[in-house]
Amino acid sequence: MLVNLIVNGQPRSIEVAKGEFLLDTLRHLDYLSVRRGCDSSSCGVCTVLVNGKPTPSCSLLTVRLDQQEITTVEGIAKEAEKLATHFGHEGADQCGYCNPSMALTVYAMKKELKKPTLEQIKAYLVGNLCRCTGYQAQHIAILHYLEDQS
Amino acid sequence: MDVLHYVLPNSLAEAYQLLHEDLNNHVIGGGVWMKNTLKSINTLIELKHLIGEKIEVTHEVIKIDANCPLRQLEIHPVIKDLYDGIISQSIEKIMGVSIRNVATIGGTVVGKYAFSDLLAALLAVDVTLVFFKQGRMELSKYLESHEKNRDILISIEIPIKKGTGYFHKVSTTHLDFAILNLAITQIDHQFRIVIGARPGIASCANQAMELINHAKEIDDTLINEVAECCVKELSFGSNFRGSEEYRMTLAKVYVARGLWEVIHHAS
Ligand SMILES: Cc1cc2nc3c(=O)[nH]c(=O)nc-3n(C[C@H](O)[C@H](O)[C@H](O)COP(=O)(O)OP(=O)(O)OC[C@H]3O[C@@H](n4cnc5c(N)ncnc54)[C@H](O)[C@@H]3O)c2cc1C
Ligand code: FES
Ligand code: FES
Repeated sequence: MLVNLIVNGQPRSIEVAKGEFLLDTLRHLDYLSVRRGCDSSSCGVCTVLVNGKPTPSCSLLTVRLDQQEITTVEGIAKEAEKLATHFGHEGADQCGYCNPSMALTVYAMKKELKKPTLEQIKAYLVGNLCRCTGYQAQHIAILHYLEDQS
Repeated sequence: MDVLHYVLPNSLAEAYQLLHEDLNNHVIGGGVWMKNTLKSINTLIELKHLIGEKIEVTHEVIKIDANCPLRQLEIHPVIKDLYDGIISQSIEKIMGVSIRNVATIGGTVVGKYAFSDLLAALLAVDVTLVFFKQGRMELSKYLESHEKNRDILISIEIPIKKGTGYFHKVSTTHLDFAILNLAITQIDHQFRIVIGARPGIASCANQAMELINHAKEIDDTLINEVAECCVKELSFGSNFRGSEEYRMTLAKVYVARGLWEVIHHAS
């Protein structure tokens, strides 16, 4: 079935099987920042934004997304780089597998919540599992990123 | 997942007819649960263009389209306040924001999941379901029925009344299913006590409710009697999340705590 997606502002038409999930479609389209972990909507590593909202791409059927706006980390490169700098300063990065989904979730949170408290940040990030780092360094980095006006 | 056909019907009547053509035809809500439970589907029936995802507030009810994602309910200002926000609270601890942006209230209600936190809260506020064929039905009646649902849920109505509420989910982390969940309300001076994930599906403790609703005076002794009554009348069981004994102990403590909380909030 032919589906027309808008990925990072660019129209992308692709022929997909009716049971194909967005994660596989995006990877076929070479958005390799979108990753697979649990494949059962539990780990958060496949998160992309659909119409600005974080969603698990492993569990969304592509055929249902005709004409919808999909954002991967490539689409928020500047903000992701800023966040990565703060992650680097806090030593909150290790293998980096979780970084793209984390960056997209933090980006969406920044748009959705005004001056979130640490508790609100933690609540928003539930389900974004990082297999290497302790979460505390990430939270500190995110707080710095939210204050960063540059 | 293998999906043979994906159809956007022109009307709910057409969707209903399609659903009944084959046991392996399914309507889809958010689809996150189906992704984890179904391997192959003959016809996947889309409803989003027919049902919508709006939340409408009138003087007496909040009408929620079946396709409304849980996150929209969770953050809705009226729902956040109603009955001390128990509906929002029951959603807050379901996985992360990204799942709650997709999973729907319709998929939750129709699925009758025994672990469901939202179902416990909805039962405690006595919501009404609106189905395409069967029309209006109380949630309690729907949950009690053992028949597999093959109707289309259109919307859910939450009554707006004066009342207080308490919700508690006992779980290891937000990413775990509940070991037990409890929702207690006092609406129009009537208490409702709901316990779910026992591990059986959310149920009202009717005898315990009768006891407290007919009591002349509420004191510690009565509250403890009511809590005791809940664990006697409802069935509890064991699974790898918790034993029967543990669940019964938890239930007694949280029923008593919840009742005092709704009483104090009301005064
Ligand atoms: C990994 C994971 C963890 C979860 N953890 C929890 C938890 O801890 N606590 C909790 O309370 N919930 C939990 N849930 C469940 C979640 O909250 C939803 O209840 C669930 O995902 C169903 O919603 P859905 O929109 O995904 O349904 P779908 O997958 O779309 O549908 C589920 C069923 O409902 C039917 N259906 C959907 N909409 C309609 C309709 N309008 N009319 C008729 N039939 C319909 C479908 O045909 C299907 O049979 C979890 C879900 C997942 C995937
Ligand atoms: S791969 Fe999608 S949530 Fe884990
Ligand atoms: S840095 Fe390795 S998974 Fe997060």
